Amino acid sequence: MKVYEISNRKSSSMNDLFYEYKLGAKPFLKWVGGKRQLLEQFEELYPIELKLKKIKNYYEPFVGGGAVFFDVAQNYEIENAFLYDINDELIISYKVIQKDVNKLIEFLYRYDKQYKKLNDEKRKEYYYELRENYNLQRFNIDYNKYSENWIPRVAQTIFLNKTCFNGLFRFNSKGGFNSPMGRYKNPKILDEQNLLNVSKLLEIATIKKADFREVKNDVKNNSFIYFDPPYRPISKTASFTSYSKYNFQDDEQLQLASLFYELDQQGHKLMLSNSDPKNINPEDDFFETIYSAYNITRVNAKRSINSNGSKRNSIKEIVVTNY
Amino acid sequence: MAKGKSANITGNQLEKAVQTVLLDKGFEIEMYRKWEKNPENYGKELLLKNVPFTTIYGHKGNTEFLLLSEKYNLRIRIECKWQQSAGSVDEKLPYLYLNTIEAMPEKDIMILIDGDGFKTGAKEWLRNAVKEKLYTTAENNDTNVMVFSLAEFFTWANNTFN
Repeated sequence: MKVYEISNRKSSSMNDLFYEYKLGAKPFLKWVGGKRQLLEQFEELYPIELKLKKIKNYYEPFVGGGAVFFDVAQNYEIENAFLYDINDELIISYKVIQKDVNKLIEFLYRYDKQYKKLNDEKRKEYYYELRENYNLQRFNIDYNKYSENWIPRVAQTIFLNKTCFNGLFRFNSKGGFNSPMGRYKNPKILDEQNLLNVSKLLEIATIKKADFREVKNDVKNNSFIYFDPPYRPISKTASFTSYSKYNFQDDEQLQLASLFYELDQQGHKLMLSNSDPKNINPEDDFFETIYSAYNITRVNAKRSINSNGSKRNSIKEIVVTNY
Repeated sequence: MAKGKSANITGNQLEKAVQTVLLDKGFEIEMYRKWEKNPENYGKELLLKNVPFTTIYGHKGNTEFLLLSEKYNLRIRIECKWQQSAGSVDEKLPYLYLNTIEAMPEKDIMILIDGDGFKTGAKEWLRNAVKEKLYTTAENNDTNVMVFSLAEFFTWANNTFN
């Protein structure tokens, strides 16, 4: 006999009848520089062709937490998404959720249960032991070939991400995860429903560990490409561009600008976000110069990167579009 | 930007942009003087730095780059001019222009000019001089000078090396 139950889901459930991917999925990792808070402003800036459902392919060469992917994939009826990042841990996380979400949920369930029964002191020991083990084990993982070993690894990634300081998912120059423990009373280590939703949404995604230039090889007609590169530091002390072992300096910003011009000439719709150097120096024209052929819009962001709470002010960020 | 205020992008970054873009297009980068001693040790797709010439005054001058490409049949001298703040660089544009048509040995010369510090009319003068082939003679009016902003350079590079 079929059992019916009353759904508790939000109003989006009505839309599910028309678009099966409107799931309410959201980023499964806390991500520094994540774009969730900017989505409302971004939606004003998406290309009209996306809103008119003429764009079927979405590309995100620096996927990170994927907030914009989740927004675009659930609201604009794209058929294919190509998600790239240079961060191994991130890419295997997306792939495990895409392929083996139920096994991942089992691992996370155990981490959640073990951690939550500990007192503060034991939690600290647990965190740092796991972090050390996580860093040692990375040499035993083959990041290029999907394997069952990836599943506990990704569970650890998610555990550390949810319990570390401010979700600062930071790696040192040697590739070791080095964020300290955060102060969360009840971190949501396992969000089962969201992981299931993310897994479903990733059905339309091709996920690759790749440099941002890879998009050139895959891009098809009717595409929207969103670039969210590591931000150019807005002050000399803001050296937080190294979230990974890979640096992203002005040279790389220039290479990205060159790629932007190339893709523009091929007729794709392009959007790119970055920090606004004018927050610190009104005379800094770096982006105005390298993107002088395009539209630059400033949006308001509330960034919490600074450990000093008083410095977590609203700042401007830039969005470059070629339409 | 108001006159006298400095921009944070620098001439150095303009040169970096050229190197970055051309490196990405497969060009090898080397100092001209090093390459000149043993050109056989290098490939045929090259961006050479600090390229000498003798100025119209008879002095030694240097240009930022010489682009050599056997594949695309190119030999282009690239001169970068960034005006960071109001000053005398814009007054050097006529001097640069005369050097391009009279003193530089290459037939194809690219002037990459950007920044907001130029005096009103300076960049326009240069573009017009190039377009109208001002002050050229029958001997040198076949020199092909291109004037590009950084944005135009990105586009040119992508179109040329597609």
